[in-house]
Amino acid sequence: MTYGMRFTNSSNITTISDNQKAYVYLGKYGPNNTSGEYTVDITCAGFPMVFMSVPYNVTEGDGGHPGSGIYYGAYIRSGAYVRRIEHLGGSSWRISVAVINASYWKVAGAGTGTVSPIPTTLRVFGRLDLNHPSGISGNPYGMRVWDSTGALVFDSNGRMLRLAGNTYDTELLLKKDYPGTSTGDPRADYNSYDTSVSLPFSLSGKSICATSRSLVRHYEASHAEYFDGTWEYTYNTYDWASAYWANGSTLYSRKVPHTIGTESFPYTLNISSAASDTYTRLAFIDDSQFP
Amino acid sequence: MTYGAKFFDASGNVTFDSSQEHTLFLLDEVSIPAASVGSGLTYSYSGAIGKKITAFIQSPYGGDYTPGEKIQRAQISYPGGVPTVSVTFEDPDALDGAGYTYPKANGYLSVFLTGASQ
Repeated sequence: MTYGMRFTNSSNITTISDNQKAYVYLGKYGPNNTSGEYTVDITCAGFPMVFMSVPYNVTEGDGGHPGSGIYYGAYIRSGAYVRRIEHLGGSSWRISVAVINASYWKVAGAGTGTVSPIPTTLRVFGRLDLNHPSGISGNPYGMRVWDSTGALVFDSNGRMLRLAGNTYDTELLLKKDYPGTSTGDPRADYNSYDTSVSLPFSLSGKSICATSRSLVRHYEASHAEYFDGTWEYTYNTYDWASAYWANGSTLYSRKVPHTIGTESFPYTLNISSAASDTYTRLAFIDDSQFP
Repeated sequence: MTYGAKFFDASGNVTFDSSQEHTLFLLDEVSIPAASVGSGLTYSYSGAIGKKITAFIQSPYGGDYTPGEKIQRAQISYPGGVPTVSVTFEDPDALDGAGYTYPKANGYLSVFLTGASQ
């Protein structure tokens, strides 16, 4: 560095310089009360960092309505996750969110009652130099830093991407949710396949940046039929998702139901095989800092 | 805070505090097609030796959504003090019930400098 300026903190780490690009708050989308899946189209030059509010201690409808289908019974619980981020071209992105609302399924099963909404809000951050190349308008004072190419890399008028707590390096296990080699009821193992991580702060009023594994399909042998010299083996299929739910200072990845169906094959399946466990990285922000 | 600088917006909210460690600045970003991961990819940042980083990977990322697809995993380590991010698929050769490997998702990796030392 032969020119410019640096700010250095007590760890002797440079926190502002012309060599570091700030990520700034671009705004929020929501709250959205949709139960199920919905999409939000956002504008962000460059890749957006998306944080989602987490259902906090929402227990309304947990356990669903008594019955034996996938939308009934104890494995109906609430949770939410960002399903995917899709680049539509230019600065346009589509965020797919899934909200599993246990009270919705309880009402659907019982045929009566009231759905308690689970509002979800997305907060989006993007590169300062791409989204505000001329600076953040609205305030005629403050400080701006440009790099040697003329790109704006810091503007004190923007809200920097700032984590809640210094939990930089947190991962959460997302289990494959499969009951080992059991060929029994694939719905029965929902609870023991939750995973969790404890944070040094309450998750009330926090949003998370996390991915979720894709759907995991479990097969349950149903029946076999013989047609024209060929066996056809039919299986019930259960698709599960990993959704987030929080209580106190603990974030949970919950196994939640997605779809049920049937599928037939001209051979038997090795139903003890399944997708592997995997992990998501986690980050948290304090919603109050990003109104 | 005994030194450094704080910045405020017009409403008096702190937008940046130079003494804090939890504000992130972009260090690197890369789109990672599933087919390029193979047995794993490694990204090292020797220019940030001694510093603590964080990384996020969005996966699935991009076009079509494929139920059952594997997502990319990012792990952080500091061999010799050099911040390093490894990107892998867990158990990439696992077979589904019909004996086929699972589809794999693209990813987008974002690496950030924190204000902390290792």
